[in-house]
Amino acid sequence: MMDDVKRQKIVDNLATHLNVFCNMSWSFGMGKNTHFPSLGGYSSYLSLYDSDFFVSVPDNDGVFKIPKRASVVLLFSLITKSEVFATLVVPANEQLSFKSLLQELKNSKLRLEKDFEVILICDHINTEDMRKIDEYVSSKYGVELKTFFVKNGRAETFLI
Amino acid sequence: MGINQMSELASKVSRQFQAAFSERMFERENNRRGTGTFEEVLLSVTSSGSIINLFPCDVETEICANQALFISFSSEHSRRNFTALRRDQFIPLERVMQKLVQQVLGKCSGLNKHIVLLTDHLDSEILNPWMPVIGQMMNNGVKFEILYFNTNGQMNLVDMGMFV
Repeated sequence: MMDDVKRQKIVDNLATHLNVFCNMSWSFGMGKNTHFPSLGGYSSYLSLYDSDFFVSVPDNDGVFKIPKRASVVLLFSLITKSEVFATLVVPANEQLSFKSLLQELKNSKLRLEKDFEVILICDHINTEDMRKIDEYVSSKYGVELKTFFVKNGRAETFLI
Repeated sequence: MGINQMSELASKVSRQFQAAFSERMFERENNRRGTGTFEEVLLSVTSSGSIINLFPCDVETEICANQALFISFSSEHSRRNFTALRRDQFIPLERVMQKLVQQVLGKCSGLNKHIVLLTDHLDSEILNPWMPVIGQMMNNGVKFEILYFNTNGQMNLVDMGMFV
């Protein structure tokens, strides 16, 4: 598995990038003209921004075709109408509740053979449902789920 | 969101509950099964000289203290592990929020100045409808903190979007 330094770097970079992106969207309403028409597109952008390869669930772009390259799996549950991701960026069919996200993750048949991180990005909280995702990720992939809670244009780590 | 940002009251509460968790104070093997209360866990906090309004609490008081602590333990995890607590100490978040608002905007309006909500379950669907009211409290000078106690015994100071 990844060493702790590498893991922390990924999480720190993602937190920084999420906050920059949220602030820009929040402040200027740039989402309507966003270059990220889907969460898959956003994760592809992150792959360019960072040397690590990102895939997302949900994803309409078919990035799962090359899942073995992924070093970071982003799980998105962005449904809050007032939040920037939900209102401006995320297509309606990619706005998943925690329950739907877990089902989507199970359906995705995601297979990863190398070191990777699984990170949940959400704009709402339900600790009971989040714990079920955490338990699934832990049992299925043997990694610890990291969580970012996005609220009012800020992304912060959340310990489920 | 780290422990460093917590108020002194929130830090004390955190330490007490984490100590109780790590000492397995409430665990099954403890003979005090089903008789414990939150007052007992918080003994050192409440006996440090300052008065705190606590909910749930066995002792009804007419005094409105500067500080108020509301506790909602209701998760399956807590019910399984904190078996020394009495059943009526487990109160769901919805009911605790109702009590909190009733007290802070009602009989203790202007007197409860620092509120800590300690919970083992967070749910935006439950909390979001109360956010305008909490915002109103904060505009009136009330300090409001939410502490989330997770299944690993970690305490998180959570910003549910109140502090824009």
